[in-house]
Amino acid sequence: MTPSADKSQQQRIEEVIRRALKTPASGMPAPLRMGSTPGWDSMGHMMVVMELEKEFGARFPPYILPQLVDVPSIAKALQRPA
Amino acid sequence: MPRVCLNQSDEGLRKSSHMLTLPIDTHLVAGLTISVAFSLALLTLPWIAKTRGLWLLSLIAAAFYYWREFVGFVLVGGISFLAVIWLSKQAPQARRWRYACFAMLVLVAVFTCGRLWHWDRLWYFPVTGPLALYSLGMWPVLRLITLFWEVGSGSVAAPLLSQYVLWICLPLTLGSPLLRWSQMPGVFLPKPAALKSALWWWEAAAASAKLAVGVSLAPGQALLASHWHSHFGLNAVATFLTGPFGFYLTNAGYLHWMQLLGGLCGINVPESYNYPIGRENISAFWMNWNMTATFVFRDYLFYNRWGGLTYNIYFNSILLFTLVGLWHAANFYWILWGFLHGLLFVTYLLWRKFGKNWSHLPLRGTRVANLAARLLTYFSVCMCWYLPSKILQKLAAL
Repeated sequence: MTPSADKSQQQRIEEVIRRALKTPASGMPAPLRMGSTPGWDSMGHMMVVMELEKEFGARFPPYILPQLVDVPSIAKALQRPA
Repeated sequence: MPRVCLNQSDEGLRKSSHMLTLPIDTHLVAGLTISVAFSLALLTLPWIAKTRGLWLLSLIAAAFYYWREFVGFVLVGGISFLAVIWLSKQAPQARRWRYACFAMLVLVAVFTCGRLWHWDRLWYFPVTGPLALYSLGMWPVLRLITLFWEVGSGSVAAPLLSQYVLWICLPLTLGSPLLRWSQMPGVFLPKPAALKSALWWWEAAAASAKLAVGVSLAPGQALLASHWHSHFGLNAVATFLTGPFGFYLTNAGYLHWMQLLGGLCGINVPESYNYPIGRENISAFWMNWNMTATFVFRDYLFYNRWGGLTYNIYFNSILLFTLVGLWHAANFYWILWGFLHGLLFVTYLLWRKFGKNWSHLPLRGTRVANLAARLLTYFSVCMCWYLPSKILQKLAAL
């Protein structure tokens, strides 16, 4: 993946997380991370997962879900072969 | 309430008495003694960490810890190891994961049946005397499930035999907390210099104080338990003060010691309790109570869609806590305890979802409301210990 495509994907992931947590961009500290980002706790996590799957047309296996704790880990999971 | 043991031995949990009592479990004393001895050996003879001596030392420690159950522990551990090795050789990934799920279900079924039908009862042999040919406690079963999960998902490779023996027999985690295979260090680097740190001794004093206060509450709780029918006040003290605090402080002190000893041995033993009492809601309570186990249940059950496209957070909550209850003991008391916690959690989820509509409630967002929320959470947690025995008594009387 090229650096620009990488950045684009990262931005998309960030947008999806914000959308899932229903929080404006200004209301979230960077970097986005489960546990430190408001609303991204155990309950909010599944909302983030569902929104990511919808956006990227992916389907995360159950053992991946606990690992999706920040933008880099989500980007890495999205690059995994289905 | 049934008797609540302080460690993995669930013998006491099977016997129904009427209140939370806190016996000094032999596993607690054994776990602490063995862990201190193991750490001292590692600090005084650091070459052990670089040789096979480490897993041999752990094996000896486990033999002392399990004693007459050791043969059963080795048999169950051995069969599980063979299964993990076989699993790691399966391909492709999807098939390996399916087999891992099946292995975990089998493990849970064996664990439950073993408790229901007392497979760990002692067998008499002429030469060795009484021995158990099966042993699968609440911590080993959780440890093995995490191993099947991690190897099945391909996130880690299967351990070598020596690594596996060291991992399942490590004295610092024999009776808890849970150390997942992926958290196990490849190399042990003892850190005796930590003993020169004032912070280490300060933490050791704190851990000892928790343990001492927790253990000293046991006789009082036993006394209250013997008189609990006669006096409402005694009942309240036992339910809301000596019982919960005795249980929490004893466990927290013990596990704090495991962390400190782990630090000396070069092992990062994860934190188990982070001041759970006095939290503002049931979610925050569980996020800080027995964390190593709670996070496994959360990761494996709460974040699960059971093969579907969507997930049901309420169903998962009830199922998760009911299984946590079953993990404690295979009896109606603990199943009911887990179910009640599940209901509490679902109530909290509903409040979180719809509570915004009630923003006009008086005192909303004030310190008074915050304090009330903390008290209500503590009260609810205590009632989950107390209510099951009352419900079962009422049902038995019908």
